[in-house]
Amino acid sequence: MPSGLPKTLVIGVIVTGLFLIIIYIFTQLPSGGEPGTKQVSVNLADKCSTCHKRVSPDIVNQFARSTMARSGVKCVDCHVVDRDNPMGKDHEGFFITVSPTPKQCGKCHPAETRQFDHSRHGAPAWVALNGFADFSAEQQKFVSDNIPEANRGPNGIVTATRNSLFDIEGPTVTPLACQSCHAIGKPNADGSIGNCNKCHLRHEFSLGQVRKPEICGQCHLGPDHPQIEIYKESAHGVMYDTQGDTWNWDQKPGRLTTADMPAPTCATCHMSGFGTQGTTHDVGERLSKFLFAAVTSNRPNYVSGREAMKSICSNCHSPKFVDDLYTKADSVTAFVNLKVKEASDIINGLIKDGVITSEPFATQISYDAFDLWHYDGRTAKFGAYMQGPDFVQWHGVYPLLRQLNKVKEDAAKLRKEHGGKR
Amino acid sequence: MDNVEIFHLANIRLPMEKNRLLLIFVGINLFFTGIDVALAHSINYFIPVYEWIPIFYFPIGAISCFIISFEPSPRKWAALVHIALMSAGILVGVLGTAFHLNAILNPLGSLTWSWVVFGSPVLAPLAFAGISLLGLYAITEEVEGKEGILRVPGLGTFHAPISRNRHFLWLVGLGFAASALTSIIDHAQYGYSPYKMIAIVFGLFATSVVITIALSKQWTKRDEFVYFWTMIAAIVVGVMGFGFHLSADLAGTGQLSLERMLVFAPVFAPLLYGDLGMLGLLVVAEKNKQLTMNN
Repeated sequence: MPSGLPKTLVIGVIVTGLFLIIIYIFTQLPSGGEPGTKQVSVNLADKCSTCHKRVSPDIVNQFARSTMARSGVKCVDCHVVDRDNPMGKDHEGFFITVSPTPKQCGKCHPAETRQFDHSRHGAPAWVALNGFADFSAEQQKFVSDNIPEANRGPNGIVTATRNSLFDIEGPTVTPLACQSCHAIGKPNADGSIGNCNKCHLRHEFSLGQVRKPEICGQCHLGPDHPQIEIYKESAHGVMYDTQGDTWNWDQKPGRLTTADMPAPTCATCHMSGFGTQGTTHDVGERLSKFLFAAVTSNRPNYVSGREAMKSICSNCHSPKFVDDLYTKADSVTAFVNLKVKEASDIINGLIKDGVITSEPFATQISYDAFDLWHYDGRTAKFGAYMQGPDFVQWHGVYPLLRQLNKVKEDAAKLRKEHGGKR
Repeated sequence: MDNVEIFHLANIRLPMEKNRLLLIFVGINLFFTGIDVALAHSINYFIPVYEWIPIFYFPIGAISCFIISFEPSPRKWAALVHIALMSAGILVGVLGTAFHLNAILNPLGSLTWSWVVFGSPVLAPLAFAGISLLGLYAITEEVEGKEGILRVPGLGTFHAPISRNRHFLWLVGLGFAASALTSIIDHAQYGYSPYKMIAIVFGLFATSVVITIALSKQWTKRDEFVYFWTMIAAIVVGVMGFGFHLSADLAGTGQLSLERMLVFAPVFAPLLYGDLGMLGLLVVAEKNKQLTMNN
């Protein structure tokens, strides 16, 4: 012991130094595997996997890689239901549901299912197809109480924009068409609404997968809501395409920062906990306008929704940049609204004067007017807010103007054929 | 009021008698630790029933400490209840550690470093055990001139292997050790940066200093000097750590998100260093008499 130095100091320094060396050595060793890359084991030691390893082995393999399996969740925890569950059936000594619903997911994820139930991914997604026909009285009341814009009645937006094409195309077509996507909000016989599987693909339930835009792009694509195409055009999408393989996709919820994801994906902006915003499964929580509607209006949560989304943007962008974007996008929306109203007035005028029937999709002009807002108008609006200029212009406003011109010309022709009534 | 001196280096006036202050200290710690646990367990929505155990325990334990602290000579039944509650607290802490360890073992019972680092903090529940043990010792008094003979109010005396003060020193030292180890594990999550190393380096140093004193039969004034300023530094490091964690949770936005507070940097955790620093000063504070240097 050096003379004069207190032993506490000497021992303190020596012990600290030794431990720091040990810590350094440990940091140089292999990590031993990350959650999700090491299989728990196919021998999950329960009756289900014993059989299903032979019958449907990849389900067992997928689940074995999941964080849920590593957390000790077993097949029975999701699939076994009470005897009074109308979706259950007997299976090898268990009473199970083949497709767990939010009722089962909500046992461990109550906040997520509650948020989902309040969102347009929930009931409004299905109501848009078939109205409230498939909902029990209890479910209807829940929807009316919790999702203001989904109310039935003359001013209920969802009812007002229910797509009559669903009836026209009928059950031969729609199960593989509209229903595939809109079933995300389908009512279930056990009283719950929706399907978590639409995004959280079974059986791996990968966090990284659900954060990638392709998962949303399953449904949010195509001429009527080309969000994935717009995203891919945008700078955000380009950064994803060119650098996304280096991002930290499995960062724990609530811990995401721009260090993990230097550019956002759909999930980042609309759902992830990021910056000041907590994670939400209510996809409308950060939205301020009903862009999907023929004539866009403000959402009930306009102020809070806009502030929430702006706070996400501000993780990377200055307030001026964000405000400027919103101002310009609002202008595009106002322009589209005007043009759609113009077309709508023309169609309503024709119906009122008996020139065409009020039956939807019975005349060519009604299809044209539908395309005008459903394809072109929405594309322009989505393109504006999501920074896809080509979609604002050449896939949006330009075809909208061309279509409006066609509607005007066709309306004039129809009036002429009907004796010139205005 | 109690005039005390800390290793001949500082004279302070405690607002009340030292033992009572210790009990209040324990009660406050149980309370805040309980709040911290409630926040942490809310992440799982309290679905596992056993996560309610510390939440039911902490208010009862804290109240017992506060009640006993205001009884100059607690009655036998009060002392017994307090001892039972503190013993329960030790059990809660040990059980909690077992639960946390079980949680990070994958279903097959093996451990990976990822789960050790990112999973539930294994040593955190021992805070309940340590605080409760402190609460247990706080109601005892050492018989004058007979080190190791501890009198429990209304219950008589028992013979401890070491003096009461050394018990306290060991608790402080082990508290620093657990905090340092937790800091090493938690800060491994995103790599060790220079400011994260402050907590680790200091924690290891403080552990060594305190345990060296606890083990020593003799120490010099210079050792006292090192100990004293290490405890002061602990308070500073604790407050600094609180600031760093708060800054991380603010995410550069100036606004707190509850989710980030719950799952990102635990805001109250660094204050444990400050807590231990204050306790470390309190346990060596004596009533203006020469602190014996021999055990």
